Amino acid sequence: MMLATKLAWSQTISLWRAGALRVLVFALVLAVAAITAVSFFTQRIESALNQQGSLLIGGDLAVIADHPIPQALSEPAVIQKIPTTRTYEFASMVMHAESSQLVEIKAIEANFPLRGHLTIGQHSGEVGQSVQSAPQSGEVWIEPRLATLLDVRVGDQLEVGERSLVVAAILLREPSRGGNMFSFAPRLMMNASDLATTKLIQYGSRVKYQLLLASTPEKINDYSIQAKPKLSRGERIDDVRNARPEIKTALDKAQQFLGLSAMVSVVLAMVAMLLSSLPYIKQSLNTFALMRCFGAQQNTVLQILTIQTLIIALLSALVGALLGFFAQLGLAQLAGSLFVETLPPTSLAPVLIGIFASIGMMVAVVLPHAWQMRNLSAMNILRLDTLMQPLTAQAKYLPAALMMTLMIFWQAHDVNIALSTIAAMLALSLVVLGFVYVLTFLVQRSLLVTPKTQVLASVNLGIQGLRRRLGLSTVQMIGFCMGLMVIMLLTLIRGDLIRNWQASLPEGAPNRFVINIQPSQIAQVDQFFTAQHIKDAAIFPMVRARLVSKNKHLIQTVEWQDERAKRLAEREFNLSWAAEMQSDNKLIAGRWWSSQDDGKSLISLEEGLAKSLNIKLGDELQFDVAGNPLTLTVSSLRKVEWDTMRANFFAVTPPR
Amino acid sequence: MQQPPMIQAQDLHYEITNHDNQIRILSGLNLSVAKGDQVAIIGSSGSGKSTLLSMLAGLDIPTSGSVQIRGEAFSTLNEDGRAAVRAADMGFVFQSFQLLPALTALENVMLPLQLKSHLAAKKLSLEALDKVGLSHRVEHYPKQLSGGEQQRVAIARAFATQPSILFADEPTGNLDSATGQMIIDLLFNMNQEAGTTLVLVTHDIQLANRCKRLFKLDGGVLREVTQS
Repeated sequence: MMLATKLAWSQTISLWRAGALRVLVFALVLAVAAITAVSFFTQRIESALNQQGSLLIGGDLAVIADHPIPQALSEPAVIQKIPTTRTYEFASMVMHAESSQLVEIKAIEANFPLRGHLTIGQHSGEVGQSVQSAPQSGEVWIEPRLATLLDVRVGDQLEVGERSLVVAAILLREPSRGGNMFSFAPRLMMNASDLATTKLIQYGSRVKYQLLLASTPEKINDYSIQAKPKLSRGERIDDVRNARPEIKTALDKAQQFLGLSAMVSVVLAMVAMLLSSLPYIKQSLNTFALMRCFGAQQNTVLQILTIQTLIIALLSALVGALLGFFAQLGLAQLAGSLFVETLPPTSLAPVLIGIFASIGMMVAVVLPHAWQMRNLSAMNILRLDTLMQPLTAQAKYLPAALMMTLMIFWQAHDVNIALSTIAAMLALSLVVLGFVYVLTFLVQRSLLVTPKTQVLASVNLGIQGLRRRLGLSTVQMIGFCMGLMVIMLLTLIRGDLIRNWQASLPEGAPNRFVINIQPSQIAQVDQFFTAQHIKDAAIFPMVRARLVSKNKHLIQTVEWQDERAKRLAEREFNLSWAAEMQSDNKLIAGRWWSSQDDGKSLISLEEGLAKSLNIKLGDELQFDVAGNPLTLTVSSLRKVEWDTMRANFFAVTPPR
Repeated sequence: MQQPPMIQAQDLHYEITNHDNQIRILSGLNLSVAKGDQVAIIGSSGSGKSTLLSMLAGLDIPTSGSVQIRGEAFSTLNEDGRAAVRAADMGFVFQSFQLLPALTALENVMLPLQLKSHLAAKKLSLEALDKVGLSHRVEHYPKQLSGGEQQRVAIARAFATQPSILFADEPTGNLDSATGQMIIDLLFNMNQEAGTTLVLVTHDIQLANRCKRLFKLDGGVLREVTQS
């Protein structure tokens, strides 16, 4: 083994120095770099999401409801002895001296959070201390923003509902606030046991009730399985996987596109490897035949080939992984912040993936030749013709083709995309095959009947040569065509993506949204916009409402099979009103209202929503707006372009 | 006790099948080569000289008959068994030099020594290259060497392992006459110095005449001819 290792190493170095390995190694390095770069990048984001998931929830799973959590959902946790804690979130006004401010109150129990911790301090600028507990009864913790707004210090009193509570600390960090872009009001955290005496929660209050659970993945999974069928209207379960669904979806998409790019690189690299491996294999076979002639045992030769293959695969994988690492740094720099604020460091897993992929690709290319070498006699060295026989029997490309198929499935992350890619490649191979056969046949036929000239004779000789090495020539042509195809595919996809994206963004598309402007603030905000030379900044009215019934029939979540319909039926809509239909909307059915309809109980719905919830023109919908019923008749359906970056609404009514 | 011949071939037959035709290359051939002998085998192109050489060196096996080395069965051993004998006793010089293009002159000479795990592979190779007058070109690749220089590297490689038997297959076949003459001188001088048994296949009668014994292969049969 020592001898084989030593010889394999010196052979590899010599082959590299002589240039016989360069294209092969370059192709392998490129493939590994592509695979590891994507793997490093996506793995970092995924691990960031998983880490953040628990912290964002404050536990491993959250049962969320717009009403007190029913016993049916809390009982299974008690039975399974899963630690739980409850939180209550709602918006309310608090007062200090003459000042008042809208805040987001979160009332928590003593053991909150079950995962992660809160950071509190005495002043806003300090590092603070980590705690895993709630404020004492009679005390509150407030965000620095609230302290500034109300000019409050630690030790001051705040009027919260009917109670006067002491500011015991400044809440410096609350992980569960990180992902919520609608956190427009500052946080006030209080002890849940004080909630009743504040009398803030009354009939019609919009409160987010949460039951948090933390335990082993198995117990959490068991609970989830038991609880899900018991969920009713306004109740849902969040876990670490869907803690930040918008990022998860974006990551899936990014992973798919990056995977496609990696797949293209892998296909290109494997084609390059196959074509460039021929001189390497031929030289290796010559070397091994000569070694046999000089008395090397068959095992020694096979060991040398195996070790040489591993050396090439491992070194290429390490260089490729290093390049992949730097490439992902670039990716993280360019796109990482689109997903999460700070990415955790990389793990070694992508390097292992790169090494396995590299070994797999190398073995797929070398294996058939090693198989052929089993029968290589030392006599081959004296009979050069035996060695010169083309190494291109189609079966020799089978392992490489299988490996390429596996790589495509692995990198495409989508069965349909993988299958279409493979089908396209097969079709391309067949077309090239047919083309080569027909061309050689036709040219030869025409040369037979045409009077021979010097030039035609040369062409004929060339065609004869091509026919003699038809297998090799065809494989080479298929390889080049495949390379061209995937390069074109990537260029087209990239161009298409950029074009689509640019086309979907209208001139002057907004890139900032101001939320929660109160009616009294509209004039000031408008003035501010004018002062900042911001034109076309439209201000839309927004009212949160829940769809309660359709044609006097109560809407039940359970009646919807479709997940989207379920979500739509559960969530609160942003209702808006407008005299004119937005320019990027298109009327599909019914009619848009005129000025005579102002104040009438009409509603215009987005067609997708209407279709999902099976709502038709003329249907009567009842909404719940902060406890007040609102009945509206569907008078039109609109098509809305959601990706125009403009503010748009599922449901719009005529102005008052 | 009389020493057995270094190489003994008895009733060697070799046939190949080509497009359903049986072609007889060797028909009942006998040959005995004593230790230190210099044997030349001549014959026209396609007469089977190289095939006979490959049988004697165990690179191929006869259809029937046997080859013995130092009185011990050789042709009946398996591939690895014959390879072990080659590693211990044999050196080769080929018509087409058979240098590996990716290896330098020194690495080419070192290869058979490395296969024998020889500790002084580099030292012995440098000495061998020095003997053939190429100590200044040890780091050159075959493509940077002339035909004569390449064959000198091949001779250095063949002698570096200090073989008991040297098989040379048309060693001047790819060289011009002046270079060929120089190579022949070198080969015979080194052979004499090392006391190696030499089996040389050639169609060059002048080269063959420098050997102690001369055989002609004709119609698959070997006949010893008197030196001209």
